Amino acid sequence: MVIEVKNLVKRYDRIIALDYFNLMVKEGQIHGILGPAGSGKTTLLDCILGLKKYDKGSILLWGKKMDRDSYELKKDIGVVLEEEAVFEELTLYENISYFCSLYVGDKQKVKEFTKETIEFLGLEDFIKLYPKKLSPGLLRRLSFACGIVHKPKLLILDEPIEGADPHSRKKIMDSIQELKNRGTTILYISQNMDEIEQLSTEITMLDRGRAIAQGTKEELKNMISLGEKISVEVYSLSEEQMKEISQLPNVSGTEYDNRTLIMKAKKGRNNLMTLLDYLQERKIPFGRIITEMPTLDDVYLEITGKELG
Amino acid sequence: MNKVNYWELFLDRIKLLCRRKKILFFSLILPLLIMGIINFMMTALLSAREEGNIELGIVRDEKEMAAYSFLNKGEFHIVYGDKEKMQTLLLEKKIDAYLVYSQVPELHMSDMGRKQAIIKGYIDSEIQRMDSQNSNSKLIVNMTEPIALPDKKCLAFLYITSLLCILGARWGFEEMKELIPNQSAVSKRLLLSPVPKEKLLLFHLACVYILQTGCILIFSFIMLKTIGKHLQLREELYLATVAAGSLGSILAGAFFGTLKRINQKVKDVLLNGVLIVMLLTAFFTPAASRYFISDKLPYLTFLNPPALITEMLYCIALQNGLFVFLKDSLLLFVYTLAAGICLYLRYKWRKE
Repeated sequence: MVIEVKNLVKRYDRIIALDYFNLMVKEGQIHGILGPAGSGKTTLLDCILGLKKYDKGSILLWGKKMDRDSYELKKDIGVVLEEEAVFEELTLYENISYFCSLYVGDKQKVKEFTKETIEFLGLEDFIKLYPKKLSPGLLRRLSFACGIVHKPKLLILDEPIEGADPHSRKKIMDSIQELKNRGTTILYISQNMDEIEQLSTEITMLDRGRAIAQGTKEELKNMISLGEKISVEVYSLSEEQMKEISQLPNVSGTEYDNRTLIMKAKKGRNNLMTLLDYLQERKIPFGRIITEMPTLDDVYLEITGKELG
Repeated sequence: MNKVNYWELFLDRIKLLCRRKKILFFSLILPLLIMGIINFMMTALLSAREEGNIELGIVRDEKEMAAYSFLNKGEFHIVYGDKEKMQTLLLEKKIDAYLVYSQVPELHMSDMGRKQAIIKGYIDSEIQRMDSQNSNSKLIVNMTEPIALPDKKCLAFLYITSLLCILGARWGFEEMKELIPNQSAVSKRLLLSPVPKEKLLLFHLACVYILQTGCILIFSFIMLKTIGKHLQLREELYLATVAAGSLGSILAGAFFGTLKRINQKVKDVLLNGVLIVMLLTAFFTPAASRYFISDKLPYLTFLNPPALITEMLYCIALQNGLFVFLKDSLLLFVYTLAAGICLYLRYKWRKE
């Protein structure tokens, strides 16, 4: 186990930021922590990294206790923070090299690692530019490069693609996947459901400092009763017909807006067929049909009663 | 993984610091501007002396025939007579001031200008010298004679050296922004590196110390090459003062940077304010007050470290005043040690 967090409690006066929080991250995994703003994600990150003291519980990294003086452990950890933590006075190359020098002693290795990272993230054309001259996307890539340049075994990412343009976003996402393939364990913290869903092998959902659900995305989706969401283009529907649809087997909710009928169905077979049979029987003309499987947002909504935002 | 290569980090850090515009402004441009202002002021003041056109009346008392030494200086044109005659001449503005020469001398002036300031400065020094003959070392006499300093360039040089040392506080302050979480984004990343935080603090402060002292030494080297003949400095003492002064300032500034519960921008402005007040007090304390503080309240200087550095440089330039130099050195050492210990404790035990 790379990260082992047990019964972690962190309070700020009367506010409980982490409430008996548990987390297990296995080697080579991308573990996503998903939760809205204020759910305790950053506090969790700070506790894991030894930046904040906690009130109860334990945090072990590779079986060793992690605190602010665990310098041996810190050697194998890379961090990419939400904000761009780079020096304004150094060029892109110098920044990556400087942060590499904090971990690697050999001058040749620093050069080698810096060059490799620049190529890995496609930053070759910008090495002489200062951070102020970089676009937000490139700045994100630079910040990411500074976090991975020393080839950490554990990479902790806090909203790493926030504010990045689509190209940089893709580049960073591909890099994370590539790092995972090379054996790096990754803890990915975000409130963006799509990023987490796309990358993570395991996910922990966080709400008010508590882990409300944990598992693979399939396991999480199976936790809820919602089976699928069916949207059908229907030109007109009476109130009575809406009532009849909502009484069809497995239907958990209906909406009709802007000539689109949305039917939420519980898990079960032939939900779509049942709806189409009803429409044909009543000779109600319909157009395009879209079916969607539940998203992590739906899981979060069903468990907590609120959206990820 | 090998051990951290501090030499490589040091070179990168120096490169980074050299590109920091704010620090360069405070360490080079601002001192030069102040140097220019001081130079201008000194030129204006001293031009009056050089012209030799100060009309000074002396009312003599027959029992007190001893003359003030400054009356022999070329810039004075002395008129002797009784008090009534002098009053008339003063009213007619034929003399700039007159002096009633007795046990307690009286200086009469109709207005206060440059010439009157020069006369006042001389008299201040003269009285202090007469008083000090019994109780004080020669040093204090010399130190409290700002008007009588040998060379205006020397004075400006001492001021700017002292200023450069003192501005180390800003360097120290800026460094702490990078080392205290929540004050800059980069601080978190630095603290998450495997370099122990105490080493990180030492490394950052050592870099600014080396660079700042280096800047002062380069400046001093240029000055000594150009106006060195006038200065006749004891160079080893000068270097020691610069080294001690800038270290004290950097540590004090860094300690100021660790203070909590004050907004970063407010802290920034506050530091500038404190520095300006201290510098003005150190440079422009009138001779009489300076003498009074040295004599009666020596530990008051402790409240204003810039004054210590300035005073030590005075002693070196005037090659006089070993006692004051040693006293100030000791105070500066205590002050630096206190700043260092407080900084370390605040940094080490800083709550999240």
